[in-house]
Amino acid sequence: MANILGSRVKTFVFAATLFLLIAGFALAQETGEASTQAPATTSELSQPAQPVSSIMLDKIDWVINDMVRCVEELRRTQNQWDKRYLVEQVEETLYREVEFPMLYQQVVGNEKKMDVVPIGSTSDVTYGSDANPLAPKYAEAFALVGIAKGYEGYSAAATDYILRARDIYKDVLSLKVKLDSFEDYKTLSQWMADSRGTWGGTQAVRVTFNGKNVLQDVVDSLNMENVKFQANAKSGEKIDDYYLYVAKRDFLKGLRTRIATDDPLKKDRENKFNIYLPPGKYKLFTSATADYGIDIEVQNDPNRNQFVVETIQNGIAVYPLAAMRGGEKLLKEEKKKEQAPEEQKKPEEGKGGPTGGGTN
Amino acid sequence: MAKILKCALLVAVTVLLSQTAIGVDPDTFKNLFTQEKYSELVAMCESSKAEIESNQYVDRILYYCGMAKTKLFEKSGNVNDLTDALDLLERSDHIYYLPSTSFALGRARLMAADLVSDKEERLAEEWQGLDEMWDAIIKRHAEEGFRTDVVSDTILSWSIAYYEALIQRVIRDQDDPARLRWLTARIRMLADRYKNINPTKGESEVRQTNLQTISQWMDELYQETYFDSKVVVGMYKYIGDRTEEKYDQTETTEEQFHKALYYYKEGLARAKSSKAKAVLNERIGYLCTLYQSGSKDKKIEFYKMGFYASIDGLKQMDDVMNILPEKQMSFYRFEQPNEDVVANLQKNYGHNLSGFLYFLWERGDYKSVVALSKNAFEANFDWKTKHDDLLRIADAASKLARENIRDPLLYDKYKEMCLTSAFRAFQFTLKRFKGARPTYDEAFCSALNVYSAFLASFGETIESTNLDRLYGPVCKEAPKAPAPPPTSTGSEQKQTGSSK
Repeated sequence: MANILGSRVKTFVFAATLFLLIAGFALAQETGEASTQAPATTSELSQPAQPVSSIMLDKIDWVINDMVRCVEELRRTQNQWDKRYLVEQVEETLYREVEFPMLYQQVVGNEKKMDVVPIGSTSDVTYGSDANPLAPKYAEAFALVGIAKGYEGYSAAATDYILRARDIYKDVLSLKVKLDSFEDYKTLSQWMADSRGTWGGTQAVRVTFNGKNVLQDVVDSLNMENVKFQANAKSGEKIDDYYLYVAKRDFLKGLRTRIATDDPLKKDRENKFNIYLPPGKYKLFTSATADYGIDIEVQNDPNRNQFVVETIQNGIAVYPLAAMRGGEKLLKEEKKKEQAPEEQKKPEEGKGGPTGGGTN
Repeated sequence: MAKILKCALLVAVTVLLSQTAIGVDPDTFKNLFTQEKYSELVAMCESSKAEIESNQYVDRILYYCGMAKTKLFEKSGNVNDLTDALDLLERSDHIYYLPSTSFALGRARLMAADLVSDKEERLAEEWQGLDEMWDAIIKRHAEEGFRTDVVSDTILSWSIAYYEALIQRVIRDQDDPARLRWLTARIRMLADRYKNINPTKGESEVRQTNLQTISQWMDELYQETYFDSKVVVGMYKYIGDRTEEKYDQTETTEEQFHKALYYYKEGLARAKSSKAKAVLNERIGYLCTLYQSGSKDKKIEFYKMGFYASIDGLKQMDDVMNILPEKQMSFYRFEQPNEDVVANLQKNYGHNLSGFLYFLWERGDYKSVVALSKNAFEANFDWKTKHDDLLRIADAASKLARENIRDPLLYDKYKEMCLTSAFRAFQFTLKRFKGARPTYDEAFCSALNVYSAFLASFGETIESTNLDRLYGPVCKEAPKAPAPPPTSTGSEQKQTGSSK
């Protein structure tokens, strides 16, 4: 009992002290005692951006090291399936340790005081500067994913990642890196050429999915069981199971990381993602009940492989972007619609596209 | 002004009210956990649920509750405890992320994964668990400023727990190449971070030693991922080495001896290159030299095992070294130099043979002792107790000759063996003088006396007399007693350092 009383007395004293402290601060503010702090704030604002801390540089170096370890193992196997975990690990590391923090720090923590100042321009980031010492490192991380995708056999994906890396730091390909404990440092350009050796016969092209009113709970209901890409048997083309598996994984990952509506950063980045598939006709199952297939056609020209994903009841409808259906005029209309206020867009929601009906 | 005063009053009242409502102290939970009073802690967690939820340190309290449940699961195997632990740790992690919670959650998840029978489900759970542990490590690494000279004890223990978890998965999923490659990359990621620790700035000698040890372990871990170009074999060797270090040649740690032996043998069964096989045989041979037990039968069993492993290893090294120089290349990265492997194998060969012979001789199994003469004669290298071993073979052969005195064929056979073995022992000790005139040396004089005595006992008196005349004066001061049986049975090897 005495202890409890003692504890209460202490708490009361603590609360009273806190009150006095805050009250004292308020008084000081009024009497000008605290005015000496104002210039400090002004000088902070007028100071140039803080140099990147060595911790940040060390951090990204370790991230790159982790990615290199995956690429090293990628290089030691010829079996495509054996490469999958490693490629996913590299992609995940990039997203978690570079892409997401980069975007988060620039969008949410867009203050001069942040350790990370704007570091380049990717599709996610709208401003940049090569002068930032983090830029080459972040670019290197993107390029490593490109090389990993190259070793996996996806030339189009590799090229896309390299282009993103060049957006961040234009001389990225001249950076030297050691991708194997027992090989010398080589430029990323040379490693690219090395990884290109495994690209022979790869035909997968970029397929872009643009998000449109995709609800989080629908995304959450989708998984590796109920999402399927199937080669359309009628077309008579034989598509390697590996392409279909990777497309499914990337589709789900894209929905979760790029389209998911619960993400507070959603408004600050492009609402779209890419997957890679050989040209041909496919059936795509994207509902929790997995009983409704949507026909999609992947063409040789990646610019024509633009699709819209949209929530329809318990699933997701996929249909070609308007421009792909009717040319430039329709594309302009589509853009106009996107720019229009939300109220005007609402009546269209739930209708689905010409190839993507609802799900049951 | 008035607004700020009102606000201050509100804050003070809120603090007062909230503190009044709190009936639990996080330190109490922490203390119970550090005192290992897990049941008491769990009971407290369950009886004060409402107070915990309203406490400002709810995440920490849930962490201790979850950890206590994990410990109870480890003790009892009650799955409900593990389920509760996961729930508590997940909630703690969601409320406030701390690397320690993430690490604990990852470990609990791995325990849960061990109980899942469906492979896909297990892998998914494991993946998540390993990710959480790794995430905790890299965040802690960042918190410590990525320094290589000041590394916390926490990170040391986490690193060990993490690589043990990874190695366990390597061994379990050894037939899944995709999984192995991912695990290999993960092992190297960890090793890279801590293999270059500089121990000189450790606060005390003990800590400096700890840092030195962990740095060496991480370097070995990294290198063993390349062993035999097969991570599974490398990890069997690595975990075997770590287990062998825990064997302190007492009965209390005998389990570690058997575990280490198991790991080495499993590695050996999977090794493909002659070099890797030889290295693993060297490890088995070395481990067997360390064996101590009150049971002489067990000693014989393990000296024998170590001896034959050494023979196999030396044959494998012959294969390695007989490759034409122009075609010679390394079998795998970070190979030990051939000379070192051969030297260690020879050392283990001698040590195990010595112990093996001694206990067979002591048991009176002279035929078995004599059967090993071929190995002792044919070994074109020396070891510390070689002359003792040769004299023991001579003694056993002499006894057998006397037992078979009525069988001329056998008598002659054993007589010849006795004299040959004693002669070799004598030659072995004489050789140490490198052609110079011998001077008094206990081993030399002992070999001379025994050889001379055997010659005389088998009627070779002229030869015996000649020997005595030639070398006798040198050994004047030497005791005339027959050679004492060597007592070296291998136990001294670990004390004088590993043969690695």
